[in-house]
Formats: sequence, C-alpha cells, structure tokens
Amino acid sequence: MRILLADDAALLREGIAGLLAAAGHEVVAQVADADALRAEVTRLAQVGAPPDVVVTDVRMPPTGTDDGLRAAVDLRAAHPGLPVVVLSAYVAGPYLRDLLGSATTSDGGGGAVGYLLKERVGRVDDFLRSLDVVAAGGVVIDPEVLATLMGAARPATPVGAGAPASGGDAERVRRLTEREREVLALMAEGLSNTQVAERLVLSDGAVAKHVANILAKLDLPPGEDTRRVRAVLTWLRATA
Amino acid sequence: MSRTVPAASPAVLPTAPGPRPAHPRRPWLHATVVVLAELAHAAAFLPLVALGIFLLLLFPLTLPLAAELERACARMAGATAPSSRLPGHRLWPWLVSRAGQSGFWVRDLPLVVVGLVLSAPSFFIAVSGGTLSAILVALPFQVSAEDPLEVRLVAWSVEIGSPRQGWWLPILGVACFAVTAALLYVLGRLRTRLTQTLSDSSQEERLATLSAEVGHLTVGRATLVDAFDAERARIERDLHDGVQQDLVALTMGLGMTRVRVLSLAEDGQTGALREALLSDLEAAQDRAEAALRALRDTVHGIRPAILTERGLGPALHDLVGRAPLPTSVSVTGAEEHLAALSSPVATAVYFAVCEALTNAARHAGAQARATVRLDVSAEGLLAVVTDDGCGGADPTAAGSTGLAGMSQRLESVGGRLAVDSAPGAGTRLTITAPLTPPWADSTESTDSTGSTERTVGPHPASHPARTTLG
Repeated sequence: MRILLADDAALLREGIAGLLAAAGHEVVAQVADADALRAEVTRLAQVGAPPDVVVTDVRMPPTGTDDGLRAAVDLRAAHPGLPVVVLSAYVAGPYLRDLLGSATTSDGGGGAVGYLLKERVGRVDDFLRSLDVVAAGGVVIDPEVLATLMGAARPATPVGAGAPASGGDAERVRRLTEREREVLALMAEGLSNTQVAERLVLSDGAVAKHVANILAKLDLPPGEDTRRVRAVLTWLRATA
Repeated sequence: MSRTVPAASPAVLPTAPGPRPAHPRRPWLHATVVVLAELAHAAAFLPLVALGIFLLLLFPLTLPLAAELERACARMAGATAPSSRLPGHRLWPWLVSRAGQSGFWVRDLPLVVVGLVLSAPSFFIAVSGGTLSAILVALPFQVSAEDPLEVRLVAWSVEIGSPRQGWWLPILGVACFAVTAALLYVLGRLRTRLTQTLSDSSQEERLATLSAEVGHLTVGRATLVDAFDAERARIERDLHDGVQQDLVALTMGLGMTRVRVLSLAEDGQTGALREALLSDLEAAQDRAEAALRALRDTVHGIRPAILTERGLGPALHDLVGRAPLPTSVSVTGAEEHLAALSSPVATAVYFAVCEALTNAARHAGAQARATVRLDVSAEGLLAVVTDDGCGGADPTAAGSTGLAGMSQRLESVGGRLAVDSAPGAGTRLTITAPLTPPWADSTESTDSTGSTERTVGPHPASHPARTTLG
C-alpha cells in the first residue's frame, strides 16, 4: 500500500513509518503539519498517484488544535472516497462525527475512514489490519472510543432535545437489541463475522443471523455491497 | 482678565488635592488671589449670561466642567474643594456619566447656579468700583481753572479748579479701590466657602473608593482565574506533547519488538524464550496502555481539548457521554450566541456542570438519572443540571466545598449558582452567567487596574463558529 503519513512529532512519525515499511508498505511522504498534508495530497492526486491511505494525527500545526482532522475532512471533500485514518490522543465524539460526516458527502456509500487512538499503533497486527479495512472502504473505530459512545448511547440520552443524531437514525438504532448493538460495535472495530464470533463466543451462524437482523432493522435492503459499512455509519452517526 | 483664571483646561486639574492649610502663610497673596478670582468671575459674568442659552443645551457637559473650574479656583484660594472626578477616572467617561450621578444635581448644579448668581454683584461692584476709582484717581489731572469740577455730596459741595486742590481725590480713589477689593474679597470668600461646602463629596468618594476596590478585587480574581486556566492549558499541552507522546512511542517500540520476536524461529530453547518474551512484551504493552488511558483521563480532566476546540455545546455532549450516571443533555441557542461565549465563561460553566454530575453520581443514589440543559441567548447563559436522586445538597454546609468552589468560580466570571435541593426531591443546580465576563470590557478602559493587556473573548485557538448542535 502507498501511505501518506502526517504527524508533527518526528519520533512517532519515524516510528510509524518504520513499522509500515517493515510490514512491506510504501510511505510515499511524511509531513509535519496540516497545510503540508493538504498540499501533498493535492500534488500526488495531480500526478495521478494519490495515496492508498492517509494516516494523520489530529493535533498538529499551524494552530496546534484539530488541524489534522480538519485537513482530513477537507481532503475527503476534495477527493471523495479518499481513505483516511485519523490517529488521536483523545476520545472525542465530535471528532468522530466530523470524520463520519465527511464520509457521506459524495456517493452515499461513505466508509474508508478510521479513528484510532495513537497507542493502537503499538498493536501492529491490529493497526495494519485497520489500514487494510479502511483502504478497502471500510470503517474502523477504536474500541475505547466505541466504549465511550456506548456510554453516551445509554437509554437516558435520547430524551434530550439535543440528541446528536437525526431522528431517523436514532429511531432505527433504538430498534436494536443489546446483543445486536454489541455485534455492531465490533463490526465498527473492523472485525469480520468470524472475529466477532470469536470475541463474543458465538457460532458463526449466530453472528450472521445477528448481522442480518441489524441490516434489516437499519432499513438496509439486501443487494447493496456497502451494507456493513452503512450499518456501522448509521449506528455511529446516531451515537457519536 | 480671563488670563488670571489658571487651569483653564480641566484635563490638567489636580485630581487628588492634598489637604491644604486652612490659613495660607501669606495672607496678602491669598487675599489677592481671592480678589483676582472674584474679578475673573465678574469678568466672566456677562459672557456667561450671553452664552447661557447655548450652554444650557450642553449643560450636562458644561456644568460639571464649570463646577470643576470653580473648585480649582477655590483650591487656589486655599479651600478644601476636591475634584468630583476621582483619581484614575478618565475625563471623558467621567464627564459623560456625571449627569447620571447624584453629585451632579446636589452639588455641581447648585454650585454653578449660585456661583453665577454671586457673579452678578461681583460684576456690578467690579465695574462701578473700578470705574469710580479710576475716575477719582484720574480726575485731578483733568481739571483746570477753565474747566473746574464741582463735587457735590448731599449737602456738602466743593469746587476743584486745579490738581493741587484735588489732591485728596486720588486718595479717595484708592480708598474706593480698596473698598471694591474688600467687597470682592468678601464675595470671593463667600464663593470659596460655598464651593467647599458643595465639594464635600466624602460619601460619594467613599462609595467610589469602595467600588474601585471591588473592581480591583474582581479584576484580581479574574486574573487569578485566568492564570489558573492558562496553567491548566500549559499542563495539558506539556502532558500531551511530552509524556503522552513518549508513552505512545513506547507502545510502538514494544509493538515492533513483538513483531521481531514473532519472527524468531520456534524451536527448542529459542521457542521457550520466544514465548516468555512474548508474554513479557504483552504485559509491558498492557501496562503502557493502562498508563496511557490513565493519562488520557487526567489530561481530559485538566482541560478537555473538545472544549477548547469546539466550544461549550459539544463539550457538554461529550461530558454527558462520559458521565458516571445516565444523563441526557440538551443545548439550545443560536450559533452566534454560542460563538459569543467567551472562553473563561465556557470553562467555568463546563467545570461546574462536570462537578455537578460527579456530585450527583456520588450522592444522588444508584438509580438516579441526571439532565443537563444549556440555553444560550443574547442576554446570557442558563445551565440547569438536575437529578432525581435523594437531594439534600446544602451549599452552606461546612463540608460542601465543591458547591462553594463552583459558586466562587462562577462568580469570578460574573455568573451565579442557585442550589435547589430539598431532601428526597432531587437536586437542581441553576447556573446563570453572562456571555462574556463583566471585567472583559471594563479592563481595557480602566487604566487604574493596571492590566490593559488582557485578552478576552473566545479562546484564540477555538473556533466555536463550527459548533455543531443536535
């Protein structure tokens, strides 16, 4: 895979680059701030060789706030479907919502986004698998972020007038059972049915049944190949 | 004549007159000053009356200035007549606001009116006495045998035919001048007394001093709160850029080592070593991740990035997601008002709500649920945190330092905290605050506070215009 890396901390950038190189990936460029990230993606796209995945930190120069995330959102608006993995030191729902919002601007299919906590990079296999899932158009969300979202999605929450999701998504998500939510959360971590079955100690068949129920309850008709991604996106948008 | 009136511009008025000696050391000089000042008043009488109609339109501005001028004159004449403008107050804001103060009506207005009335006799005495003196002094030199002068006074009359015969006329003129000066002196003393009486603004002064002190205290507290916030931001940044990055690098190094160990051949002794290394690495990675999680919580508790970057609304949504008890949140208010929320207010309210939810989780009971309602309008901010727990929270109780601290923190940005917590009926905390702290715009204009460099308004690094609301 051809990967573009953006992080202002040279130590981490070099570390990730080394790790990706060791895994046989090509790091096409390393940048240290959001403006350079935008410029580099634009340049690569112009020469007809956009990166397969952009991996970017959230907090970067020039303002030292969420520049990396904003650059990612802008880039996805300019290059629809560009796979982006955002690395963050924070568990922050609004960041995730921005990223997911950027996922649906173009074709409606969305996907190709990841939101991972920085230390997840240390779990090299998981990290590389996450990059693969995102590069293939999937969605990968850090388990710890998901745990916080699950907390936010407790039954008390939707009472408020300010429930973050649009009524439709929230309403559909409310139809899910606890077990189905759990399965969906693991799907959001980028796990396959087999991996979900292992994690929940269920049979493959049971997981497949849960997944089918989830897709039905979220009004995702059969015949669409992006249904898994859209189910995850629907759920995340309702809870993020 | 008007050049005898010094300190014509009120801008250079001595603003803090020290106690002056009641009896000047040189009485003659003092008397001269009084007479000269009175003469100046007499000279200003006609122009003032002529200008009166025009000045009347501007009287809220001209009156305090005229009163100040009177006081300056009185001070020159040795009276204790402190300026009604307190030290440290700028001229223009003081002048504009003066008509709204009671001192304007009970002191400045009578002072100027009575002063003007006093100027009328001064004017007539100065004109008639002065003219008479001059004529008397000059007369002997004008008379001659051909053009004698007959002086007639009631029944007594004398004819003066030469300067020698009228030798006493200049003496009479000087006497007349002395009488005129004496009369002017009396009037001047009267005016000085009056000015002194009408300048006795001790109560006003005390009030103003107290308000200035309160202002100082408020600004002082605000500075402390600012310093505290800046320190929070610094600690958060240091942890994020330092320890957090190092720990992440550590986990990454461990991950890489793990990959290398995994590539070791799996045979005999190497196999056992490999397993041991892998389990050690796993444990080390777990510990590093646990440390990162703990650090992340700490950093978040110090200053949530989401508050700095997205503003209060999203930060409250985020907070509720982490709340230790089931909580719902609603944020209402127009974008522009949310954007107008300044950083100190948003921070104070955020931590107040945070504390309220922690309290609710700790004291309200296991089954309790909480709600957070934030309403932001042009008038200000209203945040209500309620829970349906056991209630009984008492902000005045000795142990409730949390509520007291919350209240003080809010007061520092001009906000208020009301606690409504009857036992058994849940707790309701009502937070009201202005969009920007009251000291935000006053610090710029009050130079007496000494802090004109404060930056207020939204945090420079925040972009609350992008705030998204559900």
